[in-house]
Amino acid sequence: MSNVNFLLALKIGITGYLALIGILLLFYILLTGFVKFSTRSDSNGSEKGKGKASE
Amino acid sequence: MQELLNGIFALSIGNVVMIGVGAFLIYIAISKEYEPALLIPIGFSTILVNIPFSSAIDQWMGGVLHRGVLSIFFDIGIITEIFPLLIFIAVGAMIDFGPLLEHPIMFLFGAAAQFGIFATMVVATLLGFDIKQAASIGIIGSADGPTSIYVAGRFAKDLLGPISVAAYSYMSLVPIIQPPVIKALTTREERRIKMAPKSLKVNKTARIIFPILVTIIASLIAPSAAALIGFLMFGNLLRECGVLNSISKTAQTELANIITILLGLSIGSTMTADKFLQPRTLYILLLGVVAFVFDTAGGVLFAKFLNLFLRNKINPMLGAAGISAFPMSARVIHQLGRKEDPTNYLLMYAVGANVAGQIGSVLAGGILIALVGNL
Repeated sequence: MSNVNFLLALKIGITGYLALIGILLLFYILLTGFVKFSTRSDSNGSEKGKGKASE
Repeated sequence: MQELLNGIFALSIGNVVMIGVGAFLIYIAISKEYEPALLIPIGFSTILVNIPFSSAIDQWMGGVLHRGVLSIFFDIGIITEIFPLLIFIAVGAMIDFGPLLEHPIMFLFGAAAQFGIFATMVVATLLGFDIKQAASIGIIGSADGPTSIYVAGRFAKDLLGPISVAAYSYMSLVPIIQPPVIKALTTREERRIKMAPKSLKVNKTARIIFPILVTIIASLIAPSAAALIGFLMFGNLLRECGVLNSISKTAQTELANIITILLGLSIGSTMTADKFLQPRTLYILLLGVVAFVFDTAGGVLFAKFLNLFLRNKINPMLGAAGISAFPMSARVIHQLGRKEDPTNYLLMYAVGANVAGQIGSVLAGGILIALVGNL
C-alpha cells in the first residue's frame, strides 16, 4: 500500500511541479509582452502630449 | 460539590501536556515574535480545548450534543473554507506586485521554489501517510498559511492543527532555515552576482489589469485554484484600482485582524490531546522543515540552471526568494547579498520573486486539489 502511495505521489509530484512551472512560464511570457506594450503605449502617449504642448 | 471537581479529576497527562504546548506557542509568539497574530490565538485556544468538559468545544453529555463556540467557528470558517479565502483578500490588498511587473523573469522562481511541496509529499508517503494526508503535509512547503489551511482543511482535517503550527512557525524561521541551504548550493562568486537596477516604471493601467488577467488565465488553466487566486487578486484589485482606498485599508487591517483571530482560534480547537499527541505530529513538524529546505534548494538550483542559458547571469540566491514567506524571504536574500557585497542591492528583485511565490503557492495548492481531489 505504502509503495502504491509512493508511486502515485511521485507521479502527482512530477506532474504538479512541471504544470506549475509551465503555467508560470506562460505568465512570464504574457507579462513580459504586456508590460512592454503598456510602457510603450505610455511613452507614446507622453510623447504625443509633449508634441501638443509644444504646438 | 462533586460537580465542581469533575474537571480537575478528569484532567489527563495528555491534557496537561497540551496545555503546556499551548503555553509554549504563546511564549514563542511573544518572546521570539514568531507569527504572534496566529500563534497566540492558536496557543490560547489549545489551552481552552484541553480543559476537560470545556464548553468551548462540542461535548456529548447524557447523549445530547452541546455545541461549543470554537467548534462552530471551525465548522463555519474552516470546513466551508471561508476564513482562508477572506484572509486572501487581505493578503492581496497588502501585496504590491509592482516589483514583479518590473522583473517578470522572477515569475519563474515563484514556481521553482514550490519544489518542496511536491518533494515533501513524496517523502510523506514513505512515512506511511496516505496520498491526501501527504498532499496536506507537502503544502506546508507553500510557506503560505492560508493555502496550507485551505488544502489541509479539504484533505486532512484531523492534521490541520500540526500542519498550521508547522506552516506558521517555519515561516518565522526562514532567516534560520534558508541561509545555510543557499550557502551550501552556491559559490561566493555566484552570491556576489550583481543585478542591474531597472528604470522600467509600470503604469497604473498595467497594475489594474494584472490581477484581472492573472485570475482569468489561472482559473481557466486550473479551475480548482479559481477561488484561491480569485480572492487574492480581488484583494489586489481593491488596492490598485485607486477608487476604493478605504475598503482596501479595511481589508489590510480590520478584515485581516478579525479573520486572523477567528482562524487561529478555530485551528487551536483541533489541537486536542487525542489528535495532537501522536508520532505523526512529530513527523509533520519534521517534514515541514524538509519542505522549506527543498523549496530553497529548488529555487536556487533552478536559478543556476537558467544561468546556463543566460548572458546576463541571475544571482541564484534570488531563486530562494521564490517561496511565499513574504516579505521575510526577500529580506533574508537582500541581507545575504549585502553581506557578500555591500554594494549589491537585490531587494526589488527579491521582492519580485517573493510575490511571484505568493501566486505560485496558491496555484500549487489549486493544482494539488485538482490532482489529488478525485482520488
